[in-house]
Amino acid sequence: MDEGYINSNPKYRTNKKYPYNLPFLPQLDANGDVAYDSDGNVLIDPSVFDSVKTVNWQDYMFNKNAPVQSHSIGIDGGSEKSIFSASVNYFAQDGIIGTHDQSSYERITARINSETQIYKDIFTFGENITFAHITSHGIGVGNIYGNNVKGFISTSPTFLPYDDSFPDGFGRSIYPSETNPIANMYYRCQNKTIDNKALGNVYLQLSPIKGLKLKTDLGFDVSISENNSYTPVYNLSTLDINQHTTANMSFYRNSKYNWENTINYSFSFRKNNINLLAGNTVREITGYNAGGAAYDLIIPDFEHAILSNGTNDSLKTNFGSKSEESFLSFFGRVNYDYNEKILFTGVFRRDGSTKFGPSNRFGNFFSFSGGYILTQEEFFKFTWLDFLKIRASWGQNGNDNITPFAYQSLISLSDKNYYFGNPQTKYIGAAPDQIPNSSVRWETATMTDIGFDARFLNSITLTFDWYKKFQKDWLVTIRVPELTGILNDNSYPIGNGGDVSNTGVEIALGYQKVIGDFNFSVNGNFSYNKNKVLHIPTVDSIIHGQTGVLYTNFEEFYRAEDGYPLSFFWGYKTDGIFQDSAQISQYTNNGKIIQPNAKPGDVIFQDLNGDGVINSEDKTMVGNPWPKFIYGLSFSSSYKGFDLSFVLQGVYGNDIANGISSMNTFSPNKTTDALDRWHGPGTSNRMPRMTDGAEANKNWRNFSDLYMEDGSFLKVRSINFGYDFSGILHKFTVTQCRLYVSVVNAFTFTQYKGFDPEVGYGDHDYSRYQNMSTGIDLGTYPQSRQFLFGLNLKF
Amino acid sequence: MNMNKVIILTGLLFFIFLMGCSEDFLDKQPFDKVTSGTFYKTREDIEQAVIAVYDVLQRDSWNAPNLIAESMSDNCSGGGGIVDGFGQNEFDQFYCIDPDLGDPNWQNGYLGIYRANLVIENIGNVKWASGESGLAAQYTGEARFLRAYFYFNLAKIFGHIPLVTKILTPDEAYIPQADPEDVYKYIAEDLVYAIENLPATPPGPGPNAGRATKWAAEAMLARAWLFYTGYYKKSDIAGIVTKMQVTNYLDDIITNGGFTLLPDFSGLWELNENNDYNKDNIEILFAIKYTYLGHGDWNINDGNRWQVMVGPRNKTYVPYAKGWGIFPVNPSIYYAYDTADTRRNATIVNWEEFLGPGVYDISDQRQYTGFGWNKYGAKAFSENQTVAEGYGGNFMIDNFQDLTILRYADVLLMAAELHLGDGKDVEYFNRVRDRAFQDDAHRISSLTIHDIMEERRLEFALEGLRYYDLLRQGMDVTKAAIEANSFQTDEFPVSFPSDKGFEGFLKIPETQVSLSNNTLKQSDYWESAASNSPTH
Repeated sequence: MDEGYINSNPKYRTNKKYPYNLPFLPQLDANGDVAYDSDGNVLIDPSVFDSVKTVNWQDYMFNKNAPVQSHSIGIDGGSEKSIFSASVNYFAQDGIIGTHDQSSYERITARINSETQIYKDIFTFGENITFAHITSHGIGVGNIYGNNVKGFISTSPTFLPYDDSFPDGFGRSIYPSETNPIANMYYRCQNKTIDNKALGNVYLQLSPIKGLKLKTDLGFDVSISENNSYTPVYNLSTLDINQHTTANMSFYRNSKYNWENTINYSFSFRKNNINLLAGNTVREITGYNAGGAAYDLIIPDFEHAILSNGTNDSLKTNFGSKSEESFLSFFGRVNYDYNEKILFTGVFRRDGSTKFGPSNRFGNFFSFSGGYILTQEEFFKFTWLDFLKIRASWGQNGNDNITPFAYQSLISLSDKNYYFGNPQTKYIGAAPDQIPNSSVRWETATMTDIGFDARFLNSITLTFDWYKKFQKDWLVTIRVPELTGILNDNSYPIGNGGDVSNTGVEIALGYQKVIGDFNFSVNGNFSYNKNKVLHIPTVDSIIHGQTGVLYTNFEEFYRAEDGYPLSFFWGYKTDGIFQDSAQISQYTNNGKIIQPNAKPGDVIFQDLNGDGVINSEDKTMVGNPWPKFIYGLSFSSSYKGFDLSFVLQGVYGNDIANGISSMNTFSPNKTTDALDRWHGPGTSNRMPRMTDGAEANKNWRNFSDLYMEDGSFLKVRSINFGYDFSGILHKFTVTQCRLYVSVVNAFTFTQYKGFDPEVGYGDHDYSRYQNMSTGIDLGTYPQSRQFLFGLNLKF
Repeated sequence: MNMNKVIILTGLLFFIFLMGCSEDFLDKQPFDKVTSGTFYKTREDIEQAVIAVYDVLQRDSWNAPNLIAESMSDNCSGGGGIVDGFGQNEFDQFYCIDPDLGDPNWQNGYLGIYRANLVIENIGNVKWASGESGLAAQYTGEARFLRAYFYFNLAKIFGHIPLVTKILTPDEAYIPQADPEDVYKYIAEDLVYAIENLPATPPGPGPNAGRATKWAAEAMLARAWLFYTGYYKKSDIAGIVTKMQVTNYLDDIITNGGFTLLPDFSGLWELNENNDYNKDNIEILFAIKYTYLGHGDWNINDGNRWQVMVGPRNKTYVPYAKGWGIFPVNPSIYYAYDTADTRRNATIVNWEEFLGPGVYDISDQRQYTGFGWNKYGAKAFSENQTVAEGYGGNFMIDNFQDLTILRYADVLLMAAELHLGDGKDVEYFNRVRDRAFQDDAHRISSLTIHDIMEERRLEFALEGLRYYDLLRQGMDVTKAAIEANSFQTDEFPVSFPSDKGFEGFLKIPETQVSLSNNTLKQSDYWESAASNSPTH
C-alpha cells in the first residue's frame, strides 16, 4: 500500500420523479341517483345534498405530485495491492397517501468496500460495509382494522374534510359513528421512525499453497430503530376518541451475525478440473426492544412527545423484550468439469435451526447438477449454432421460516391476571398461549430441472427449463378446532401442512443486433406454472384459511386442500340474479324451493349437491390466485448518444378476491359499481340489489364468485429515453454526461377494478399466514405512475 | 509479514473452524416464558394456573352470556346504532347471518375448560410443603367449579356440545356432540366435588372475595339442576343428583352460609340514588370480578367490557355513562313492576320520565324503546367524564361493576321453588318480596310455580336469568312470553320460532363445524333456510 495510488473516477447521478395520474376508483357522488335502493333503503341521505358539496375523498387522500428525489455520488480506485470503491446516496419520497408531511421517507446510504493483499497473494483482507440512515413518517395500510385506503372509499361524500365550523377545522359526518378519515390521519399519524442500519461483511483469506484457500467471513446486519409518536386529544366519532395526549417512545435493536468458514481446494489433472469446498456457518439473530407511553403531556405537541413530559402516572405503560435465535450449518461441495465441457456439481448441507425441537433440529439436504456443453465437441459444430449447453439438476433446500419455539409448550404470564378481595388485590395467572407441536420439522423443497441454453447466428439466445418443485412438509399455521383451548389467532399450532407441487416451464428468448451506430436488443420471457396440493396430513385433509379477513366475522374463503391449487378461493357459485318472485319459487331441487327467503334482486346460488338447501356443502373452488403464466418483454436500443428502452410485464389467468368495495354492509359510500345493481326486472343479472347488509339471502355475506375478478394485467413498467452529451463535452473530461427522462408504471392494461392488480398482500395476520394466502385485495397501497428526470455524470 | 506469521494465522483459522461447531449453540429459550416441563411443580405454579382459569371469566365483551340471554328473552331488544351490524338483532330475532355469531362464547368456554383441565391434570405433580395438604383439594375444587360453570354456559347457549374431559392434542379435537344428559352429569360431578372440597368462606368483603366457595357450588348445582330437569323434563340429573339433594344444598346455604339480603335492593348496583355500590356485599355467593386498573390498555382484559354495550347511545346523561345503546329494555318489563316495587327503578331507567319527553337523542339509536339499563349501567361523574375515565381508564373497556352470577335472593327463590307447598316456600319467597317493597304489606300467603317465575322475572331482570327461566318452563310458555312482551315493530318483529324446530339455542359457529370436519352437527332449525331470515 505504500506504493499505492488513487485512480479515481467519481460518478454522480441524480433524478427527480413527479408521479401523477394516480389510480382512482370511481365513487358514488351525492347527485342523488342512488339515494335509495329498490327496497327503499337509504344509500345516501338526500337531506344533506343541498348543504354540502360532493366530496371524493380520494382527492384528499392522495398526495398528487409527490416528488421523489435521488442523488448519488461514487468513487472507486485502487493500486496493485488494493482496490476500493465508495458511494453516497440520498433518496427522498413523499408518500402518495396522506397530506403533505403525513407520510414520507428519506434515506441516506453510504457504502464502502475494499480488498487488500496483506502478504503477497497469500493473505487477503476485505470488507463491504453499507450504512443507512432512514427517517420515515407512515400511515397504516393493510388489514381491515387499520386500513385507511378502504376507509376512504367507503366514507360518505356528504361532508367536507376541512370545515371551519368545527373547532379543530375538520368536518364531521352526519353519522355519529363515522370518522373523517383525513382528520383521523392527521391525528393518528403524527409519528416518526428513524432507522440506522449497518450491514456488511469483513473477511480474511489465506492461500498458503496453490489451489488451497481458507476463508473466514464475518457478516453483520444490525439495525437500530427509534420510534416516537404523539397523539393529541380528539373526538372524531363515537368510536374514534382520544381523551389523553399521548407520547409513545420505543427503541428496537435487531442484530444478525453470520460467520462462515470455508476451506476450498482446487486442482486439475489432464483436462479434469476439480474444486472441493467444505465449511460451516453459524448465525445468531438477537432482538432487543423497550418502550413506553406517557399521558397528559405538559407540552402537548409532537416535538415534546417524550415520556418524561407525561403527568399521568396511573396510565403510563412500558414494555420490553428480548429474543435470540441461532442457526448452524455444515456443508460440502464438489465441482468437477472435464475440459469445460462436461460439468458436475454435488452439494451436501446439514442445517440446524433453533426453530425446531432437539430431535428435529437438523435437516440434511443434497443437490446435484450436471451440464454438457455440446458445442465444445468437434462432432457438434454447426455454423449457425454458437453455443448449446444441456443441463439437469436435482436439489433440495430447507425452510425454517416460522415463529420461534413453536415446538415447545411454554407458559405465558401475560394478561392472565385476576383481582380478588375487597380491597382488590392482583393475582398473577399463568397458562400456555400456543398449542405446541413437538414434531414440527424442516420443510424441504426438492427441485428437478431439465433445460438448455443456446445461442444461434450470433444474435439469438434461447433458454429453456422444465421444472418440478416438490415442497414437502410445507410449514404453515394450522387452524384446529377451538375445543383445544384457543386464546387468539396466535394460539394455533404451526406444523408441517403437507406437500405442494409446482410444475412449470420457463422460456427466455433474446435477439441482439448492431447495425452501424444503431444497437438494439429484445428479450422476452414466458413462464408457465401449475400449483397443486398433494397431501395434507390433518384429519380433514384441509388447511383452513383465516376467518374475519374481509370484514369482522367473515367466513373462511380460502384454503388448501388435496388436489387443488394452494390457497384457492372457496365459496359459492352464482347463477345470476332473481328477477322476480316467480323465478324464486321455480328454483327448486329435491322438491324444495332452494332459496325461500330470497327476494327479487337477490343472488342465485348454485345448489351443487342438489339437496335443495344452500349450505357449505355447496361451496367449491371459485377462483385460483395463481397465474397460469407470466411473461415479459424488454427492449433497449442506442444510436450515437441517444438511448431508448422499455420494459413490459404481464400476468395472465389469476383471480383476485376484491375486498375493497364494501358492498356487503351499510357503508356510507360505495364505488360506482353500485350503479349497476339490480333495481327492477332486467336491470342486472350480476350485481344484486343494495341492502343494509342484513338480507336473509346473504348476497355478499356468502363468499361467492361475485368477489372474484380477473387479475390479469399487462404493465408498461418503464420507458427510458436519454442522451449522453459527453461526445459534445469532451473538453470537460467527462466520460458520461447523460440526461434522461423516464416513466415508471407508465401504463396498466387490466380488467381488475381495484386500485392495482398487483395486490401483493395476503390476509390480516400476514406474518403467521404468509405461506397460505395470496390474491386478496383489502386496499393495497397503489403504485403510482412516476416521471423521472435525471442526470448521470461520470468523470 | 513473514511465512511464520502466515503459518500461525493458518492455525488460528483452523481453531476458529472448530469453535463454530458446537451444537448446543442451538439451545435457545424465550426470555418471557417458562417451559411447561418446569412448571406445575410448586404451590405458586398451580395457584397461577388456577388464576388463569378465573381470568377467562373476564374475557367477554358484546358476547357476554348475560347480555345474549337478556336479548333472547322478553326483557330486551337488539338495538345499537343506525349503521351498526346486526349481531345483537340476530340474538333478539333468532336468526343468524353472521356465520360465527356465537363464536366468542364457544371459544371462551373451551378456553376456560382447557385451562381448568391443565390444573386438574397437573396438580398431581406438585410437591406440597407441610401445612399445604388441603390446598390440592381446594385448587382442584376451584378448577372443577369453574369448569362446570363454563360447561353450563356452553350447554345453555348451544344445547349440543362436545364434552372435552382432558387436554386435547389437535388430532384428538374431533369430538362429536355429547348427549345433554352426559354433559349435565359431568357438570353435576364437578360441582359435587367442589361442594365437598371448597372452603365454606363467609360472605362479604375480605381477601378472598371472588373465589369460588362451597356455597357458590351448591347454588350453581341447584341452578343447573333446575334448568336441566325443567328443559329436558327429567326428574333428576342422570340419577346422581336428586331433588332431595339439591334442596338440602340450598337449605345448607340458608342455614349455615351466613348470607342475608342487602336491606336496600338498589345497593346491589353501581347506579343508585345513595351512590353506594356494595361490591362483594353479603348477598353475593359468586361474582365475576372486574377492575379499572387496566387503565385503558386494550391488551389487558381485566375490566368490564360489556357494560358499555348497554349505555345510552353515544351520549352521557349523568349519571348514565354513554355506551352503544345495544339491548334497549322492553317497555313490558318496566310495566310489569308494581309502582311500589323498589326494584323497578333500580333495574330500569325510563328515559322519558328521567330526562323529559324527547330529550334522549335517538338520531343514532336503532330500536329506541324508551327504557334503558339501570342495573349494570355504567356511571358518569359528569357529561364529559364517565367513572371509568375518572379512574384513568377508557369508557369502553375499564368499567368495573362485577357481574353477579349467584346471589342470595336467587338461593331463596330456588329454595322456595324446590320447597313448593311445604311451608318453607312462602317464608323464603316473602323475604325477597319484603325487601323489594320495603314493607310486609305485599306478602303472599300461598304460592304457585307461576308466582315464583313472575317474581324471578322481576327480581333478576337484566341479570341474564330470565331466558333460561322461560326455557325451563317449556317451549309454549317461552314462545308466548317472548312474542307478547317483546318490543314489536314492523322493522324488528320478534317471533320465537319453536314451531320451525328452534330449540332455544344459538347456532354452532360455522367455522367450528367446518374445522371439525363436520363432526359437529347443527340442529335442524339452524340447517334450514328459515334461520337465515329475520322472521318477517
